[in-house]
Amino acid sequence: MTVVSVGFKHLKDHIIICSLGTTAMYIIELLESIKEKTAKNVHENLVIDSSEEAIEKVKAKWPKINCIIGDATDDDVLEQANIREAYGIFPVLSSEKDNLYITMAARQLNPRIRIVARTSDVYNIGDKLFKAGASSVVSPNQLGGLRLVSEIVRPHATDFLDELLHQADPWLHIEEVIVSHYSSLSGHMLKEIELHKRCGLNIIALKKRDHSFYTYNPSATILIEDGDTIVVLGYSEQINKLVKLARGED
Amino acid sequence: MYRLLRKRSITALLLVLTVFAIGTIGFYILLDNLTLIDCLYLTVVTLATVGYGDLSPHINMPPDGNPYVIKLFAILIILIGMGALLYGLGVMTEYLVSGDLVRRRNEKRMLKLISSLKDHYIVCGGGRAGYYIMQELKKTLRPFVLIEKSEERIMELQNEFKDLLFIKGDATQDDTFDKAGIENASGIMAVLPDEKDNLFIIMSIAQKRKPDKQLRIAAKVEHFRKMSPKMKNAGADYIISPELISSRRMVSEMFRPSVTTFLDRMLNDDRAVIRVEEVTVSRNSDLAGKTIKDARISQRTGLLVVAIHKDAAGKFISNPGPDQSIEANDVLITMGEMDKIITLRRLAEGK
Repeated sequence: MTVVSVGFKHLKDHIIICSLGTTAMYIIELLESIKEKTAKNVHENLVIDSSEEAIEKVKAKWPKINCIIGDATDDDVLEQANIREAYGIFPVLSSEKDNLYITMAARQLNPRIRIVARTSDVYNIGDKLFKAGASSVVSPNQLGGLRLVSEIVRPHATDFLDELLHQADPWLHIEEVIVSHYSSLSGHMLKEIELHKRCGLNIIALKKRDHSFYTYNPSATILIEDGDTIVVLGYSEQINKLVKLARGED
Repeated sequence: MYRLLRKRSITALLLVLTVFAIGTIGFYILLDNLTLIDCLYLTVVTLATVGYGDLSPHINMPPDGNPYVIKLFAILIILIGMGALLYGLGVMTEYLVSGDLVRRRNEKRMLKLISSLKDHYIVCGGGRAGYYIMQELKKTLRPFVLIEKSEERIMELQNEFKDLLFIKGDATQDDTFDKAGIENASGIMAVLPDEKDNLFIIMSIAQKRKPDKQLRIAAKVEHFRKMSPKMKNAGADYIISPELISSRRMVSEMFRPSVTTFLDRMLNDDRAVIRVEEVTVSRNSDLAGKTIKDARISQRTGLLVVAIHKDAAGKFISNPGPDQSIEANDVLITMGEMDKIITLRRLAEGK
């Protein structure tokens, strides 16, 4: 295959997108919009696809984007994309094998690069991608499927979780607080510390100091000791009060 | 089943052949004026109960033969031979019809099971997305029915999902949904690979939707901007483009290396299936009209109400205190093991 390009040795800390499938197009759109919003010092984007037609389409939409017409599973093409100095790469081809190959090649050529790969089979291919050096693996089918189930079977709970994850103001979030030796909470049963009265919080989970697992919905008679981790969900103001209590600064 | 039958039909065949061989050789020894072919002929005529009468142990008995021995031998051959033949015939018939019968019986039983389902979910399409959907439904103990065209794919999925309830058929055909019990279903997920098929499904379901029954409809699309308004118009409650949401996830993974949060760890707990779930308080529930303390939710279910959603307020009340009141139509958000959540759901439904 002939590679119509001049090479991109001048690019540094750029992001390489391999192939122009549906996911890739969404990614490019997102990256380019980030670039538009933030003025300077953002990553340049570089697209590799073997179809001239697809590349032209992208060029029509984002005229300034860097493109290579070529096969991303070819190491020379990756070299030409200056992968050794790239910040990250998205192997998002439709072929699992190609993504696996690109992941491996990219990791070999650049030990520091961030690789976020796509797969449709998290169990078999996902593991292999991580072994090949992927920093993160995303499966559209899994992500989409799970989200879809949540929206159908528990719409309110999904809204609630969204509220937790989107850092709106006032910020509702989950916090893990470790009980210190000096804390007045230590040595008391859960029902005795009256956390709800003191800071408006309920304890949703507790990790005992010697355990590696959480006890969800701990019972009122559970003993809280120093070194235990208390998990609460609340607003910053409430959580700050708890942190003081847990440190013994009250 | 099939293997056993095949083995039995081979046994039957061998048995019949052996009886014929013994008969032929026996008559040949006892009736020494007949040829081997004559004896085979005599055996067949005897066992087929034809009895032309041209050859018989009686007529062809040699002068020095013992009539008792010959008659006893004939009785033996007739009894054993008839038995073997009947057995063989039975096995053959069973072999021929059983595949059909077993399948039809299973299908009938499954249709009956499906028609008795209530508040179940219907998954249209057993592809990759459908697979992850069914896995989550199974983990959270929710009944579901799969509609899938390909028999091969159904068989593949049966390996993973024992007792999979399915309708083998085309989800774009109307009667398929009736078979899947759409009247009693809580939700439908259209996740066929072709977004146009999903649109078609949503349109035909929306017509069947009853106003008094809560039926949530979700569809998968590929091109969100193009398809989303059409799906909304057709009646979908939720539309998702896996490509779009995963592109967002991928970009955020690229820039903000993810830290595993408490929620991630909780959802992937390998000791139990822990979920953040919701239950809606029905008018008949004894929770309605009580405070959290008086409803004794924690004592009865082992769960904590993390938040309450009140329709009137339109927002969540997080960390509800012991004196927070619970009213009908409130939605309680809770997190914990699925069996506890099901207990709470029963309480909330007033059952």
